[in-house]
Amino acid sequence: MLKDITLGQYYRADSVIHRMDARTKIVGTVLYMVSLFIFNNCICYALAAIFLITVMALSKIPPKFMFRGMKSILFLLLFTVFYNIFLGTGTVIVKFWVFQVTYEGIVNAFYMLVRLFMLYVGSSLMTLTTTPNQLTDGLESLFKPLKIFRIPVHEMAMMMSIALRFIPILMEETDRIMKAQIARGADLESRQISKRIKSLIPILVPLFVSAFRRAGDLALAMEARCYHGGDGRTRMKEMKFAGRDVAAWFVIAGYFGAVIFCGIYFKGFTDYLVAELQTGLELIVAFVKGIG
Amino acid sequence: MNLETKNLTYEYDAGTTQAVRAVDDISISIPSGQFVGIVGHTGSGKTTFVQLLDGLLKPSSGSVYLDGEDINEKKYDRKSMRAAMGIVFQYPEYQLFETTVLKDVCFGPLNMGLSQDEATKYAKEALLKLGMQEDSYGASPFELSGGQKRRVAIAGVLAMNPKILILDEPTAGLDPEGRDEVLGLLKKLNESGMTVILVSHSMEDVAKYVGRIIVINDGKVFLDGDGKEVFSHVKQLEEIGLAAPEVAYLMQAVHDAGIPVSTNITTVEEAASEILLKFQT
Repeated sequence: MLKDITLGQYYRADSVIHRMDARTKIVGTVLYMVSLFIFNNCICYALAAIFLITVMALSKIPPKFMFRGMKSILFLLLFTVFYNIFLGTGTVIVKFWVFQVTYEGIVNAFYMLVRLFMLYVGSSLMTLTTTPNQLTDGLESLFKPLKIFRIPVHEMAMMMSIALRFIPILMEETDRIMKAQIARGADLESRQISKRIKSLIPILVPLFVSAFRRAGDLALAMEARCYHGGDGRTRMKEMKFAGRDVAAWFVIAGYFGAVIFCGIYFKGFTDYLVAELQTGLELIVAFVKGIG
Repeated sequence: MNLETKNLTYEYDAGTTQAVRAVDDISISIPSGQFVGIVGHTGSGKTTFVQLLDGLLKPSSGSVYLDGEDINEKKYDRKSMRAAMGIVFQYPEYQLFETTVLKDVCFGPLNMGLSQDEATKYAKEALLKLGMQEDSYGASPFELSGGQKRRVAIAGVLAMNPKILILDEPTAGLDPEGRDEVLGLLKKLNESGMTVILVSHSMEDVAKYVGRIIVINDGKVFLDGDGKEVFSHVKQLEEIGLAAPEVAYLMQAVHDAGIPVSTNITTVEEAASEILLKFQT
């Protein structure tokens, strides 16, 4: 039951995006996120959507797999939409108590929805195509300049990879301990909260004991192999900047340039949309009144 | 209590492309009072099988019957089933959690609804059976040696006075002396009427103590019978990555060397008397 949780959410496939250097993907994703937030008009979103769909198609990840985790952000999406529609400012359509529906609010709600959606898909594209280890390696390499400020970048990256590696092991361990205690008659399905919390003790104590034991063993094993931190350490898998990364950088730069251009050139587009929405609604209202 | 399985099947990751059939259509019956060894190499499905027996996993299809009642039935009283069936997992010492040895062993009996006095009484009995003396009962279980921890953990299951005791590799990582002690205890428990199911990959252990051997391979019952019968299939056992006890090979070699000894032998003691017999005559 517990073993079904995938680590990160890496999806094994062979594609350009998968083979790309992790650093390119990390920086590219960050730039993409920024691009979603600096401009506020339809044309830019259309560009972002085209970019996203292209990358998705290149990554060979089935769309079904991409949207599987969507449920987790559903609440956030609904909340944002609700907040924007009912608590926006601008030309008021309907008003009751503290809530007011405005034209700007409706347009904003739509923008936010699209924004969050693309943000989610964009960032999961990165985690789906990059293994957690590649990610930590990429982050380590990107944050290397921080060493000047005496921040132990390598050690932090090592901690992160170890933590990631331990997740499935501890999951398995939990499963085993739970079964053992259930077999000894532990009641894990009680409805009473107090009993439920109490029933966690026989699971948590052995779990912590075993986690510390494993951590101790690992430290010893690392020490026995002369691990001494990051200085002078070479890698088994060198990260290489390949032709595809250069191409990717051109694409990203092109995309970013296009977004900036559209953002400035079509600046008034949102106001235009609001005005259109207003006239449209007024027409409908007039029409309904006319019938009445 | 009689334990029975019918067409028992279990799949991991059922419904996906990576579905693995760990237990495949096993139908066996274990009558009350038997000492059964379940043998198979790593990954053969023996651990999954015993977890199904204790209702810790729900079968994909098929059923487990305890005294004729399906244990996965909705209305079935699982609490009393857990009291009747004890299971000792692999490396059980990792399930210890209480502050003292005695408290930890009491955990099971208390969960069964016994009073503190009764639970303590059963716990002490169980600890004594495993050779743990009174002076250690107040110690923290985490301060004990590996072998002692193992004993306390087994006592924790034994204190529930189960009618059926299932043990998954109880001797893994124990020294030869500890192994003989644990297995000897199981023999004694069985003689006092308890059904004992011993999961192991060690043919030596099983051959010496167990009355009936069930060999599992790829989730299926491969062989089922008493020791002599199972070990007469040496060739097939080797094909699935298992081996007969060393003595069986020795006797075969002695026989092939022209000394007419019986090859139908599974323990060192039997082998010794058989060979001596040949020399005396």
